[in-house]
Amino acid sequence: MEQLLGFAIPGVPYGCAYAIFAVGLCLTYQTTGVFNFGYGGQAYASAYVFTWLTQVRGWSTWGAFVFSVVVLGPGLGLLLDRFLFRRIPSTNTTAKIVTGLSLLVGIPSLLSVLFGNRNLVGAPSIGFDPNTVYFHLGSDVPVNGIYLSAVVGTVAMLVVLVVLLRGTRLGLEMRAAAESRRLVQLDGVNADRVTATAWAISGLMAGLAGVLLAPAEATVQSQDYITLMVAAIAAAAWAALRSMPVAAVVGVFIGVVSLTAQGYLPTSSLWYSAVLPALPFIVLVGALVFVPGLRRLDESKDPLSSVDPPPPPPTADIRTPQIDRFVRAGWWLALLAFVVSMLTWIPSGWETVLNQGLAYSVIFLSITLLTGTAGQLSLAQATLAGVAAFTAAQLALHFGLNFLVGGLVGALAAACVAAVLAVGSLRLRGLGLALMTLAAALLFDVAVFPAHAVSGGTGGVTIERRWLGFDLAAPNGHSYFVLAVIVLFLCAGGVSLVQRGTVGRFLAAMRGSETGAAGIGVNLPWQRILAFALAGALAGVGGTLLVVQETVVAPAQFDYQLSLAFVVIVVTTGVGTVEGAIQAGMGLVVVQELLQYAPQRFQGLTFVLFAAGALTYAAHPEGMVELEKRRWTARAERALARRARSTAPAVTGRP
Amino acid sequence: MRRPTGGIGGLLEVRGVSKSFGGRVAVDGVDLSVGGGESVGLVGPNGAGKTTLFNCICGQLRPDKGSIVFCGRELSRLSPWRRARLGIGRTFQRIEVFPELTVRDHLLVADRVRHRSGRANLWRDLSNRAAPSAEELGRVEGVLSMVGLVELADVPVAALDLGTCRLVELARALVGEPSLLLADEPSSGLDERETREVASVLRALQLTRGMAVLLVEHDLAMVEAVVDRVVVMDLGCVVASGAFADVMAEHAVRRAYLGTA
Repeated sequence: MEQLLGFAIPGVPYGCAYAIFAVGLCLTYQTTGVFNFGYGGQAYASAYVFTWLTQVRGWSTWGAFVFSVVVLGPGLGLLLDRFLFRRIPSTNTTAKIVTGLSLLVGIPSLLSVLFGNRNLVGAPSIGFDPNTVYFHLGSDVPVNGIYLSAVVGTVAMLVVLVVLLRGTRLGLEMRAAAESRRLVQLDGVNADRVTATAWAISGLMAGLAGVLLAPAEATVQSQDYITLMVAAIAAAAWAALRSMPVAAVVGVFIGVVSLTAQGYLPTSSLWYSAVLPALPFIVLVGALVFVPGLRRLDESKDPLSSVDPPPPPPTADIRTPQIDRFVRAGWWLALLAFVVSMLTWIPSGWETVLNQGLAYSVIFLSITLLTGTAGQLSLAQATLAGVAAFTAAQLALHFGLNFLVGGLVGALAAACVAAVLAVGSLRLRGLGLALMTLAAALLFDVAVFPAHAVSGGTGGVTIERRWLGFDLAAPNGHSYFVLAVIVLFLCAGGVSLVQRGTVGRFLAAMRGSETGAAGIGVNLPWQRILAFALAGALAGVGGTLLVVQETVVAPAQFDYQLSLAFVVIVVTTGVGTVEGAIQAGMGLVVVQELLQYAPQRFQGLTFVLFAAGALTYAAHPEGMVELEKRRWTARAERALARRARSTAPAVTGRP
Repeated sequence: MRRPTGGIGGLLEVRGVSKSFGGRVAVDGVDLSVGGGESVGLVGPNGAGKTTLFNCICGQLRPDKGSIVFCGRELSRLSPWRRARLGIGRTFQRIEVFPELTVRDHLLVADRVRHRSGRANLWRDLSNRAAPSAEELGRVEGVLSMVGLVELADVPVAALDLGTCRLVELARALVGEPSLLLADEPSSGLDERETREVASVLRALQLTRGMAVLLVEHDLAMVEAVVDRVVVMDLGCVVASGAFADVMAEHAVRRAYLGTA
């Protein structure tokens, strides 16, 4: 018993942090209708500022607490409400998820830009001294201030929130406004004030959770808060995003069980290295399979949703034939100029960068097909790229198969994994589907890719020249560029043909209304599996292309967080069009390369820029580039109309 | 999937279907039959369970009890899209259109489901053979002209008003050449002239193609113009059925509609 407590007690602060996060996610969902993926970013911001104020600026603990939790936390929540989430139509789940992801990716990057890449250590504990043992459980299990702060903070917060939501008029108004902000306004409720209050409380909780967790870690790192989010999501999922006590209990359970199992399991066992890190994934998948409430998350529809304006059609569909001819010719000329430049005068350093952009473009085409065309959100596209790359590497390593041929086999494997994922989540929609794909990405990240049999360890597998058949990595050679351009051209053409064809029409119908599509006989499960499989294959081809240039296949190249960033980046440029994916791929590498010339602290600005672009998704779901294309097309059409009027012969009046 | 052919009297048989939501019984042991080429009106006050029964027939909801047989085939284990391919067309009380597709594309999707739903679609797309054929366009244009939407064929549905969207839904259902059309309040949002046109289209299709119609409608004039007989529901139960004039004169029907004893 003493040993059990000794292993379990250190898990309590983690469990409490998971619980607070999970409760915060439930609160935000219940009161605003938003599953806020950015919650981890908000918590990290408060923790970072709190530690910076106490350790760098020398503020008192309570002064820093008041600023970072009571001022910054709710302030951030109010800003998010005022400028972002208030503008998102209540039924647009994808916009809410993408906005949350943008915050999760963008806030830590923004902090590193604002404060520099500081290594902040020694965050103080709130209320209780971390170095004082207040009492012992049993005979010799010490309980110090960190544990007490976490437990007292969690219980107090839970009680206050349950009373607020269930026992006050404000709580009732918050829950009603989450269903339909516009409908409660018709009942005389100031919905803006109610929702702003909900976001302020949610922000306060995020700040408190961040500051309570900070002393439990040696340094304040965004990675810890993102990892913590995954466990919290699993706990919130078991509560169907509704019951805060259930979320809290499951959160504590995950924290305590993880640490207890860590204590008992031999460190050399598969259970320790693969199963234990995947515990949040297992808990999350269990919730998605066994909690029926999660399948109905997207069913609650705003009765006034029809007043939302429809998204604008793609510019390519509405421009005049005259401009269309001009634009098409322009694209071919640009492609020709790009190819000629790459083969002649562009320095090899930049050629390498742009080659990487071509490979990313292929991966991003998978998001175009899956999200832009089929309306399905996957947070595992980087993982699928990794499946293909590791498959190709293992086939080359063990069977001597050409790496590029192996890449095609790998793409097939990625398509199969994606199809299995689609089959496993057929009953899930919107948020549920996003969570399932995130869980799968996490599983591969912690339990599959690091395995020695897959990647040879964290260092990865080095790609040998003989595996490639011809010398793609030769200095001053353009073989890789030619290969990448051909692959991108084929993939982009394929996606474009699918979008315009029968499958594309079926997918567009499914995206528009699953009920309507099923009503005319569209086989929704098959279309969904097909979309996932095709997207998986595209990601696989892109992943293989990417690692060929980098000459190594390592787990870090396919981190699950990259999948989140990929969605944010493609949404920024335009998720519905092929050129949006290519612009995203090239834009990502060019911005990253240009920032190499900026001071060190601005290295993280790439994701800030893309996240800022994705934050406009609610207002412009077609993407920033597509928006600008529409504006420029409209200007060109006006100019052409003026010119036509001025050159038209004058009409003589009636005598 | 080959469509079964149902003879008169055996197209749709609903037997003892019940559906509850929580503690509230929405449909309570309903029996209903629709013969091939027959037009049946399903009327009743709001909350009578008409749309719930529609959803059970189409597979959007799974009944708690009872059986639904279409052309001799039990439907309870079939998904909505499989039921649609058997020949059950549907329009919705709450509009279910594909906002980003044009009117013509709506009908093309339905037409291709009917005639080209095989696995080879992907290959045809990738080999650039997916453009609509003259035959397809002919079928689509025929239905568009039938419902008066030819001039709006290339307009994205998102740009259309509610009434026109209802016509798009109707056209989309008709292009699939269903044996049975479940029309859920098709006149909602339409003006008087449009309502008369929809009624005449439904009647004409029933007479020329032998298409059966199960019509939920509050506009009793339209119901009278379209149906051969009418079934009245109230509080989840069937309270009357028979010829329109006879049923409307019945005491139970007047009580359901007017609340009079």
